[in-house]
Amino acid sequence: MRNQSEPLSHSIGTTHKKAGYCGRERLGTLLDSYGILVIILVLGVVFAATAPRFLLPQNIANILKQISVVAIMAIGMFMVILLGGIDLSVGSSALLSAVVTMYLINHNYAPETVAIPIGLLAAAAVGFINGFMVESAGISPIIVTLGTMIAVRGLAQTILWIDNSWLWVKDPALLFLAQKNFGFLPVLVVLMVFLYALFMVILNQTRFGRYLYAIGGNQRATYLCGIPVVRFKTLAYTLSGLMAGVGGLVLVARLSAVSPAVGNNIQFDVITAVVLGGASLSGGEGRIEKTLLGALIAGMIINYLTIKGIPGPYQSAVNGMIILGAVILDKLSKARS
Amino acid sequence: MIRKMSADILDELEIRDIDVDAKVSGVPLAQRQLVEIAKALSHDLKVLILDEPTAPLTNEDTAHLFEILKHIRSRGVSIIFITHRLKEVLTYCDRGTILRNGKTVESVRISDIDESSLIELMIGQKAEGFYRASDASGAAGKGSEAILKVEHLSIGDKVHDIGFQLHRGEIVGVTGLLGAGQNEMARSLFGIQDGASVLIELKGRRIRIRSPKEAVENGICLLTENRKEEGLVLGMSVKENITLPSLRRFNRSRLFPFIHNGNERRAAQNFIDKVNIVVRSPNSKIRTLSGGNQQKSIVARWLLRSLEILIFIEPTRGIDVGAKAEIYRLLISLASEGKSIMVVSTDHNEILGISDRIFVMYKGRLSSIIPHAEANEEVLLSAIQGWSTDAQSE
Repeated sequence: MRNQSEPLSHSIGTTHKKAGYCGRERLGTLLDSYGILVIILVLGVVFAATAPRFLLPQNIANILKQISVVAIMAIGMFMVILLGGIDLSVGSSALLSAVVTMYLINHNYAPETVAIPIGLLAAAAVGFINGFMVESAGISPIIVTLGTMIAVRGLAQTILWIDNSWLWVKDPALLFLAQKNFGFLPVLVVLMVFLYALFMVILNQTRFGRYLYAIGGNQRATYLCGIPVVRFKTLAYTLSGLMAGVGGLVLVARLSAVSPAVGNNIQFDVITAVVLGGASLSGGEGRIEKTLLGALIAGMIINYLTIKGIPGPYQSAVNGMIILGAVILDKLSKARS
Repeated sequence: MIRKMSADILDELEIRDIDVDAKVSGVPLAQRQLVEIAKALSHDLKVLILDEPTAPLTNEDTAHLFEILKHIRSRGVSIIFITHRLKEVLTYCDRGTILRNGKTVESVRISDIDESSLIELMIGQKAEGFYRASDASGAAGKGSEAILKVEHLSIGDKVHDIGFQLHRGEIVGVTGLLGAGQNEMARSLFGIQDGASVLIELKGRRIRIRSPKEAVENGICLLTENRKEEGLVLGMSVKENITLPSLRRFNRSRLFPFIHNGNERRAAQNFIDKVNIVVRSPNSKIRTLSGGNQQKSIVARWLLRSLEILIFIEPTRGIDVGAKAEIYRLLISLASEGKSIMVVSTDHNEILGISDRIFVMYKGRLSSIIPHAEANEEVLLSAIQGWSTDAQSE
């Protein structure tokens, strides 16, 4: 495509400033392929120069730990966005899986080896319902997942309310996962990297992955190839629910407790990570590994602001601007193509 | 005010049958095209550049368009008209420039040139062998076994109870006036036509086709006239577009269901060579290819899937004359390999040139079946208009 658009830009360039136009074009190409690494590098240098603590191994481990929940949930979100959809319900699915799991464990209804899969299954079920309603009933994903976001959070909070307290996380396996280190690396970070490696293989080396890209690129054409589009799209939504469930368990293990507010609004951080990672909101384009880098950028910025002692509300303001910046980048990259 | 201006512009262009309040998405393709042209004309212009404006239009609409263009020319507007349709150039244009592979071949005065020398300039070789040699046909189709038997095919009020057989190794051309039901008929055989009821027998076995998946599993594929919307995944490579329906075949093993990249690339390359797609590498993005090469890629896709029955709707729409000739050669060689091919087209030369048998549809009925030996432009035209008296059906 670059081949086509370059000569075009020359002919347009004669009426504008030629050199400036080409320069922007080249920068755009560069940003497309290495942009996100460049951004991380620049931010890293600037942050390290103005806050020496930033580069301490302890701090880097901290950043990775802090982004892990969002990054894990972003794996599922990436697949849904790759299909041209969106999943607003991941924060609620996260809460649901945590509530279900901890409820079963704390009341001795089930051992952790059973309770954890059931919790994850509950979150996956939410994803399945999303996928089913989007695909089979033909309702837009933003409406469907807005509905399940509210309903599922309500359901999870009801369980907490009946229980009349927060659920404390005392389960050794979950605590190990969330709070221990393998030497320098937190177990959590190892899990995150493992999941990304797994989904890199799934998305790039399997039929399922190829179909997701094809459906996101041209759903009609993919359907006309005889591929059961609905089945694969529903599966992607289900996986989004599942990864939200994993994120939820990790999150409450880090907090040591399940409060009704767990995962509230986290879907926006998750979407931010995916979009910062260069995935197109209209579907069909993006790389899963860049999503991890997107989460890393967001995490670096928040961490830096915290080190600098900038209070929470300001951090929110900055976070919001990151989202807007990401969407504008998405828009600009589409305008070029 | 806007209504009035729009109505005036349409009026000036003698476009009477478009409601100015209608949504553009709701009017047929041909009319949308006229609206697009009307939009361009609503500006006060000196030079009008039209890039393949007639590609989706019927002959009637095309003639109408040229009436409009003559009118505009008489007002002193210069018109650059880009087309692959030679007849339009020869009939309506004053001067012409022929481009091949991005280079100017020659600029000519149209009154000094005829069709065959024009084709020669375009494809860079003699134009003979463009269509199939007449004696080679017929023999292949007739008398050989029936692969597909279609009975009582009805689609709402568009198609009324038609039936036919498709034989191994033959090319059936299907034509008719726009909207005579031929496209719906073809789509129903691929499971993407709402409201179709039909009895289908494949090699003597009764089958049902309710989705493209079932069609493909039964060895039937459809290449529609909307390459971009219904064929290509533009963001993907040529290789990925070709292997999309056949991916399962490249699994490393049942237990280890990962795509074997080497096998996939080799298979894609194999079919890129077979149908002669001009492309630097199988990994090139398909959107960088010309229309002809994109169309060949979709053909390659279905050949790799090794299906028996290939149904094409307007296979050469929007494709230049060189690639067109290649597509025809490809179809003919596929038929001789035993594939059964159905070509739905409103291009009479195409239908006459490649078909063993011609199905003519008129108002939703299969009004006549013309064998190759009896086919000529007159017979075809009168059948298309519904004048045929010796209508026959199987």
